[in-house]
Amino acid sequence: MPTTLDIRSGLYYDSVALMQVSAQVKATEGVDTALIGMGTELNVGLMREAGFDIPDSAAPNDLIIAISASDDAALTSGLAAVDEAFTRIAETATRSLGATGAEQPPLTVESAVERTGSNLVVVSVPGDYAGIETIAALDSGNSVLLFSDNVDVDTEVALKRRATEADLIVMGPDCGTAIVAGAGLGFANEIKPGRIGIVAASGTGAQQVSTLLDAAGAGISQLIGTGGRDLTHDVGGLSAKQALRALAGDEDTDHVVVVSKPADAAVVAEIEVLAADLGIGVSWAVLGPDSTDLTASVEAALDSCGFDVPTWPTWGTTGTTEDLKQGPLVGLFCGGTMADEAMLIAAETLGPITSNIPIGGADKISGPELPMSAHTVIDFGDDGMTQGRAHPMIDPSLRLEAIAEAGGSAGVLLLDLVLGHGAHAAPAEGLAEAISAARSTATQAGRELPVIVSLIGTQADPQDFSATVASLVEAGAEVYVSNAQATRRAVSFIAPLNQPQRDSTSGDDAQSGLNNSGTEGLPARPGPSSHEAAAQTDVAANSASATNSASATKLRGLLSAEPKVVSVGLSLFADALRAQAIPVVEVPWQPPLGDTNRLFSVMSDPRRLAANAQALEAMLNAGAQLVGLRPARECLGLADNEFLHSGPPLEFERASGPMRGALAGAVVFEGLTDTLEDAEAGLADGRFRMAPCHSKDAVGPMAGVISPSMWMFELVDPVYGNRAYCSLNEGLGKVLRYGANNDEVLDRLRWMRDILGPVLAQAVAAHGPIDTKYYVSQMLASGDEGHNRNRTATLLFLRDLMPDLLALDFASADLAEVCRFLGANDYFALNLVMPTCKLAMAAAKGIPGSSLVVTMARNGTDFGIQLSGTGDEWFTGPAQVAEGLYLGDYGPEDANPDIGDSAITETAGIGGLAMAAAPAVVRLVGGDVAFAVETTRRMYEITAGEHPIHQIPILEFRGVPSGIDLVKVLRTTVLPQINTGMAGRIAGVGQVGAGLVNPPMDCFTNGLESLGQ
Amino acid sequence: MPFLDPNSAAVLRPNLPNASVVTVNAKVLGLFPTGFYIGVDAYPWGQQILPVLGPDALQLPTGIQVPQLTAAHLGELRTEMPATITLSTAAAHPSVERVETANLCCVIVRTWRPSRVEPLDLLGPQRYSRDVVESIRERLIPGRNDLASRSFNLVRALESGIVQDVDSCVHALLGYGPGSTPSGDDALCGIALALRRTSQSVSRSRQQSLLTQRLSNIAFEARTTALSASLLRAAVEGYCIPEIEHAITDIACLGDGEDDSLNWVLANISRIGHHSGHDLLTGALAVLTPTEELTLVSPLEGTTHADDS
Repeated sequence: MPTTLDIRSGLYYDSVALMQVSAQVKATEGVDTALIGMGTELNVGLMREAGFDIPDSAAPNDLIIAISASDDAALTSGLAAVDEAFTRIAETATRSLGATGAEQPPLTVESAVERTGSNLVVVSVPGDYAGIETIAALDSGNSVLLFSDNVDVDTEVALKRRATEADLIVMGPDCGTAIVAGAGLGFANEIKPGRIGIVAASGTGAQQVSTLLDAAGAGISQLIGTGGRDLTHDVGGLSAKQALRALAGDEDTDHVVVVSKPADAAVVAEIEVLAADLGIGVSWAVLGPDSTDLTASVEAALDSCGFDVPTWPTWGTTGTTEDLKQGPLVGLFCGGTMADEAMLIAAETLGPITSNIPIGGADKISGPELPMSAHTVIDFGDDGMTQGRAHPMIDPSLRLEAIAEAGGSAGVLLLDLVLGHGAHAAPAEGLAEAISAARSTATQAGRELPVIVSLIGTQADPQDFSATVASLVEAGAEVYVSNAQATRRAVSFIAPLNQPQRDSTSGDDAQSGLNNSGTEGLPARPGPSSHEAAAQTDVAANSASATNSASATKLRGLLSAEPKVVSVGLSLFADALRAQAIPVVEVPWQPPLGDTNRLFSVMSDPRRLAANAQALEAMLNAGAQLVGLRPARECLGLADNEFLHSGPPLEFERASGPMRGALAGAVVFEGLTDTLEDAEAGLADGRFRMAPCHSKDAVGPMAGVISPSMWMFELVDPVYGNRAYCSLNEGLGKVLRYGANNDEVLDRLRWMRDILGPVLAQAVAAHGPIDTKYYVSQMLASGDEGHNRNRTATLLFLRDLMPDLLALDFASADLAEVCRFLGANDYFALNLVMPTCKLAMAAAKGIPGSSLVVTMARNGTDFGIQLSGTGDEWFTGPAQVAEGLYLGDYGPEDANPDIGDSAITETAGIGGLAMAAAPAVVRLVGGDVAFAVETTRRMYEITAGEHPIHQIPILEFRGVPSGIDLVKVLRTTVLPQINTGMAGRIAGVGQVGAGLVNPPMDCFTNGLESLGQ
Repeated sequence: MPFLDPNSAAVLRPNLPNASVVTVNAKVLGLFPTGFYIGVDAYPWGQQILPVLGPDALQLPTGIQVPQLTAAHLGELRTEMPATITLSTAAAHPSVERVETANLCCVIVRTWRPSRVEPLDLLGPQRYSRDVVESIRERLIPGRNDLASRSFNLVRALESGIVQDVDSCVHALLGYGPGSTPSGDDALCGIALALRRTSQSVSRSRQQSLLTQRLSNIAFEARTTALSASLLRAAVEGYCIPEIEHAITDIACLGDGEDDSLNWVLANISRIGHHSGHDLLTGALAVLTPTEELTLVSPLEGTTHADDS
């Protein structure tokens, strides 16, 4: 038997691919054996056992193809099959890499988190909306870096409490710096790994501390930001405590440095106690009149951890301490904490420093204009200076102008320059030019202008650190890595001009690193005033509730796992993360609709998530069985003069043409008046009463008019016991549900009352209960979406009923007509699908706190929705006119606004929401196939889950999007998609087309108002 | 991996010349929908393989992660396409600085943190339930019918401490099966990971040391594929893809009757390769199964399995 052996080096295929090739080759006629595998020792042995002569040179990385066949021709065919199979695999792989089947982008944080398995969300949307996105992230199980500012304190506290309860952390608000699991978030430097963790309520302060630890060779393990207010009385250190717990549980952290601007003494004390309980050492780098500078704090921490305190690097220093006496100190800063530190240090020698962020009662200025003679420090990153422009670390132009102009008046110029991720990519050139310009101006005035720069950065930062230093030195600047040293150097040029004007209460402790508590680096603890004593009590009470547990936390693995980030807001952060090869998904964001505070309140409702989950579960579990047919008078208890209509409640005066036509036709059909005019008069004066179908557990398509003698499908949910009803479908053309009411229409209704209803009632009784939920699944698998395509369910119903129907004791002509009627009306089963959906939504009703939509219905005038959490209350807005395709010569001017209870199908996740299952529906309602698929994919962004049984084959059998969430609709501004028929505007015209329509957003904003109360 | 540094993360950049580094020739060895393999012949270690992983790829602990890598980038690559690996000579051990093909340049910017199986706290509440382990084992479909028995044999040999038996059983697994990560190697990885997970026990710790010591004597590259060799080395150190780490960790949290959670574990590992997830867990369960269960011997043991029948 001929055999062949092909050894191919350096080709890697997984076992699935090799199985596919093997199967294809084996299927070749005449091929006896086909062994295909990598040339490992064991595989080679097995091939040799099978009779193949494998050379010793075969190596584990070789792909060995061994074939035996009945003759040479078969062998050739087998080899050809190998190549063909490998080619097919390659082509398949190429196709799978193509652009087809692209997902819709995630529109909410929740969606992005679910898709990516992220563990951190970066929120940088405007402050008013930051709470909404943060709570969405927390509820999705992610910690948050909250960059946004202008978040009120109450919101901050609420978010941080929620995070702590969920074993997560909120870093922020106004948090610009963090380094988590090796990833720099926001403005962060590339710091070498070490075993010191940082908890920082100050962004640039944290950058100073971390870069100094890097320069000292110690490095850091993590840098957890908390937001600038965290250590205040109001916030109570909620995030700092959580960060401390996390660092205590972090294998890479031995010691913690807490960095902050002045902090609340009681909060500091609590953190001290917590640290002791956790058994982790803490150093403090808290700026204040009585506290050390940051460099001294870092030195103390290094000493505590057993590191040598280095001589901090400087460049371009002249060593001169010449007293220039030619002008004031001018400090122009990007970093707020750097500016604070400079003022605190300079004030010890020079007295109060004028500033836009003055300390200790110094004079305040509001803009970049410098006073002529006062010692001045300006923070260009302060909110007042960044309105309408980016932070100076990103856009340095305003500060550069000020630097260049300062040459005319400054005696010494003190600057900072912050490098790292997020900061300007190449800041040195512009700064060097500005320095040169300033010095040149001074020189022209016959003065020497010393320029001192504190450079916050590391050699590994994206900007070239060495080149930056060289550029600044060349421009004439002295460069320091310690802002404190830089400041003292700057002051030294002016000091003799000013006698020290230090506060008499602040002795030398500030320099020595000791405060009045005697603890190294610990901020002062003044005796509490009565207000503070109360505050401490409050803080203690706050802490006891959820936050002072002394057990370490893993923050769900945030500090140890590989970072995966979702970013909502500024692309700047996402770009900086991408530059670090960190997976990041951006969520396109726009302001949510509706009252923002109310939306936050609804999202904060502790019941909401569980309530939505409960509602969704009920909706998905609910079953539906057709158990019988009865006249509405009997099963709905309708009085003789009582008529039901679609949509929310409606007065006859506001009824549209088709609604009027249908109601009047029904009155005549019931024999209550002889003419349509009399009928309308009776409806207007209240002789004939009107109520929504939904108020009686019923649904009706289009006008949905139900009169006492009409036969109703009666469906039961065997799981929850609910019942739902729907009238029988009349077919297409001129029918009552479209507002037509001529004799042809009324005659058909009479036939339905006298023949169709009784026949179906007896047939269903003979058959027994029919599972209509099963119909829906079958429809979706067969290309129907359940609203405008119902062919499959109609035929299934006919198939199920036919044997029993034909055995009934009715005239054969009547039975034949019934079969013909059902078979000729593809919409017949719509009236079974609608109550099936109604039962699903009935199961989800009445769950307090739930924001899921349980009803969408239109009456031709108003569109109304009901929510699971708000009972039977309707939230309405004006019904829209559908856009779509028109019959004959009809056009948009002929169409009535949206009408019918059939949007219950969309409420339950089919119809327009499941258009991808029925691409052919676009021929009826407009759009193209891509639109149908994209629409369904988009609907997942506003729904709470997916149906386990109702699946869409083209989406790899993904469940239909289920449970429309009002909150998601408002946040994404994506409205549910509805397919619908269009009724003529004028009573009696009937159907004029079909198309696509959305609910008005008013329904949802109105619903929010009620839900939030 | 002795030559290429693993667990790096890279960004895509334009090609930039840099004279201060060493560049070696390599080639694209294989393409898959979410990444590709780069191979380089590195004396004296033989062929080394470096997985370059896109955002949706399994996070192989020995791979370079490139979150920006898209289908469009991969679509331009072909197997056997020339590539270069640029090594930094700044540190004592050379490390990969760039990976380049004709139309792609990946620049290493940081080290990422692969998932690692951590030893179970023996004093903690979590235990491996016999019933849970058994019910999972019954539902595993390994790539080779006798993989479980080969795995049990190794665990028995490790328990006996007889070095010759350990070597024999290791060799019965190494390189056993088709594909770029043979089933036997996957099972061996699972055994190594599970021994690390249970290494707080004195006996398991001793077995872990013995296995590590015996594996250190083997030139993996001579016995199996380069990819599998690198993954074996990672597994001995406790590193693996997150899905396996979760599975080994989660099984200890499961109680009897938690079918949903059990299904979840199985569903997740079933996504790993065609058999690899099941093969890995087959090996791991051989360690996690109580001792008295280890008498199981497959009726197919010793039979020839030449292909994917």
